[in-house]
Amino acid sequence: MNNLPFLFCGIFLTLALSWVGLILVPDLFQIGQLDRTTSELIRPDTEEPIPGLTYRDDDGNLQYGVPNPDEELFPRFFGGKARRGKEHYVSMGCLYCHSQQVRRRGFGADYDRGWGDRQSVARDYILQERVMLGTSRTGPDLKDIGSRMPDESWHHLHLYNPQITSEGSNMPPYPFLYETRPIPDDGPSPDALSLPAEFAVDEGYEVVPTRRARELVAYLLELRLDYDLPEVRRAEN
Amino acid sequence: MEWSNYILLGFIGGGIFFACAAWALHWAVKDGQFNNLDAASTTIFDDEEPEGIMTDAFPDMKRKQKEPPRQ
Amino acid sequence: MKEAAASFYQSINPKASTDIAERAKLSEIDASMKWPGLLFIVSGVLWLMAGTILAIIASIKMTNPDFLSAWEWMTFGRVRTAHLNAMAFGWGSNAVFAVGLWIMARLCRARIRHVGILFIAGCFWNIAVTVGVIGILRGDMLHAEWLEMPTYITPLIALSYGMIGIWGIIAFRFRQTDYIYVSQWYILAALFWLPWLYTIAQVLMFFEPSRGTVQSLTNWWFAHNVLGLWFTPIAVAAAYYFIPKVLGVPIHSYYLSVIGFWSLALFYNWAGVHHLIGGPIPAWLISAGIVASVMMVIPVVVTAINHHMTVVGHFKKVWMSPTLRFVVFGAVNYTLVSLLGSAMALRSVNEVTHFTHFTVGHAHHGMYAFFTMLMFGSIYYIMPRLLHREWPSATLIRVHFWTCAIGVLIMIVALHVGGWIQGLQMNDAGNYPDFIDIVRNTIPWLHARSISGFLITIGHIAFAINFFWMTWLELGRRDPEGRPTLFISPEDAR
Ligand code: HEC
Repeated sequence: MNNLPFLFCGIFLTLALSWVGLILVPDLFQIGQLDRTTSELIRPDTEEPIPGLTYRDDDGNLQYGVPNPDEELFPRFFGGKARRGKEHYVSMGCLYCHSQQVRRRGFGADYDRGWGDRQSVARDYILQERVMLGTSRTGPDLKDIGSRMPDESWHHLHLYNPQITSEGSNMPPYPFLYETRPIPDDGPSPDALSLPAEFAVDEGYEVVPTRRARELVAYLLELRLDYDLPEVRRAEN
Repeated sequence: MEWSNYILLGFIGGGIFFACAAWALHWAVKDGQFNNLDAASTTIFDDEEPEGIMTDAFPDMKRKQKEPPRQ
Repeated sequence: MKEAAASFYQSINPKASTDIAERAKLSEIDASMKWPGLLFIVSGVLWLMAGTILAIIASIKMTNPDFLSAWEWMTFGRVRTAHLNAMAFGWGSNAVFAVGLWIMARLCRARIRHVGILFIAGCFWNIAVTVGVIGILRGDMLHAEWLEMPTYITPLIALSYGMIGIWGIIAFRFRQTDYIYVSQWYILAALFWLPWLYTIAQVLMFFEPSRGTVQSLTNWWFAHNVLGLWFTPIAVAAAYYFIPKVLGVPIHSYYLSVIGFWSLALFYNWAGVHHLIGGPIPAWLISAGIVASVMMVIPVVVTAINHHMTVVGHFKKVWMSPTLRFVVFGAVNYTLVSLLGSAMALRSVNEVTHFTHFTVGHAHHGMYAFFTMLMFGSIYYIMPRLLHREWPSATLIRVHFWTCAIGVLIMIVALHVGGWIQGLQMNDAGNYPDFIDIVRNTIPWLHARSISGFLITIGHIAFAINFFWMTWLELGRRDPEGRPTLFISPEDAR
């Protein structure tokens, strides 16, 4: 082991090998090939819907189905507001306590906890420029939070101070995303938080979400697994 | 591609890799890369910090205090 | 200046002869490494203190979420991330540079050239990390774990690292030994692996983000490898150097070290995917990750035999030496943490531990009980040789050792047990339907973690006092009658 080129080739090859295997191959051949698609695929010749991704044609050969041109493609694009909200999700560090992935039924209890009606699959993430599967569940999974918790004002109360909605939570409060201001002359603002008495602010003041809070909540509401993909169906999960 | 093709590909890739590894090992042994390995293990010592001598200890745990080794 | 440029050109000119290099004594090498070595260690210690403060704040926030919650830059997500980056790229990497390059210089045995490059690179590195950590606190952080420092520091990191790499190559090129010692394999490999990991990860995560969950693969390929192929090799190299060095006996088996090195290089690379078990990525990748993680048992056991068999029969000496106390503590924990890590990659274990505080405990087991303790031990050996001065207080070293060792053990136990309970309850939706109950049940364990953090902080303060006392107050000069002194003259310890 005193030959430098020998040592060096080995050092290089071991790393290159794992890079090819773990990143390049999946990118080129598997995940990188995925596109948006409809919930059900059809046979291009007969236009009949097929279960799953492939079917046997009349000669018994395996063929790929194609998306149904009349139906909506999934996953959906996020709206602009939600996309900006995602930036706040990153910069507040929500990712260190919340995952965004639903594991298959029977592996962990994601399904039993109602964190999603089906497992999440690689195709669900292909439109995201910033993928945050997460590695910690100090808080619940959020992949499907928009279906589970569609109420905007609940989210605002929760983000303003989690103790209001979930006493004993160790999720941090985000008061700096909210503005405490005097109630305008023409009455309280429509989006002012309805705080319970023990969290109330001074008489004559109200708490309203800032632009960032609204964008963040818009993002949370768009985190939904409410569609099927040919490779997974909610009913069968 | 069907899954069986992936397995085939995996086997071919694995085979090539294994062959390369075996060849590299063979070459290395023949080339003498592994000869006299143990000689290298004493290269960390020299007359300033020789083999057989402990070079770091708490003061009160030293057995006896002699000349300081370095100015 | 001109002269320096000319000699630098000569050093990098591939056609130039390497005969001009002279063999140097260890003490001469130590003397020439003084300034860059000091720069890295001093900045490392400052980062350690900054990281400790951030850690304590983050730990308190986990049990008392209202603590300092009014300031945006102090929110949990940012403090925790600033802590991680300050420790990994501030403390950890500075320690890696100091210890790795010092060992490298000593093992090359040649007169050291161009330390100026290292000094400038060190300044750049620390400026970049400072800007990066402030960027995180400001909210510019990125979405990938272990890569949160904003992209505007990437060029400076790359430049600084490039300079260190060039220095390393020059040092290696003019080496004056016939043999390449084990530690050198590891250091060489780590110095080569990090820039590739970092460049690929930066490009595929931020500059040309890859599609969907390939990002997650890239993320964990990087994040796990930065532990396994950057911090681990340097710490293992240090153990391979200091254990035989301080004891004065050669390493147990050189053959084993060859196996250990190549199996680590081969398997560690693939292990990162175990952070994605159950996730939306192709199943065969996860299986590959699990297999590699389990195969890691080979390098770990081999290295463990090698380290521990060298120590067997010399336990008294280990206790007598401040360096070895820390180093052996670290080496033992390397064995433990790696075996636990392999177990955690098994599907059935992972089903419980994944997403819980268990993982956090495991990370501290590796980065602290193994890596950081080994670096402490190395610094105790290196500093007197760089400065020709003694550590001023042996008591402070003992305080440092005991508080940190006990502290980190409490932390590991608390987070492992608490995390395991958390995982079992999370998987048991029947008996624990309300998530908030699980959260409440983790709180006592998180309190225990804060307590362990306070202990560790005391240790770090003791270390910092001793360190800066020695470095700046010059009180640490050796007194020939010498009370606190760590040097031992050759005849002493026969
Ligand atoms: C310290 C960890 C932590 C951080 C950081 C954190 N959360 Fe939470 N989160 C929790 C915990 C614990 C719960 C469960 C108790 C509760 O409802 O507060 C939770 C619950 C939630 C819920 C309700 C989920 C449900 O199913 O009831 C939402 C939505 C949420 N968090 C969003 C966020 C957002 C958005 C951020 C970042 C701005 C964030 N969290 C940051 C720990 C955290």
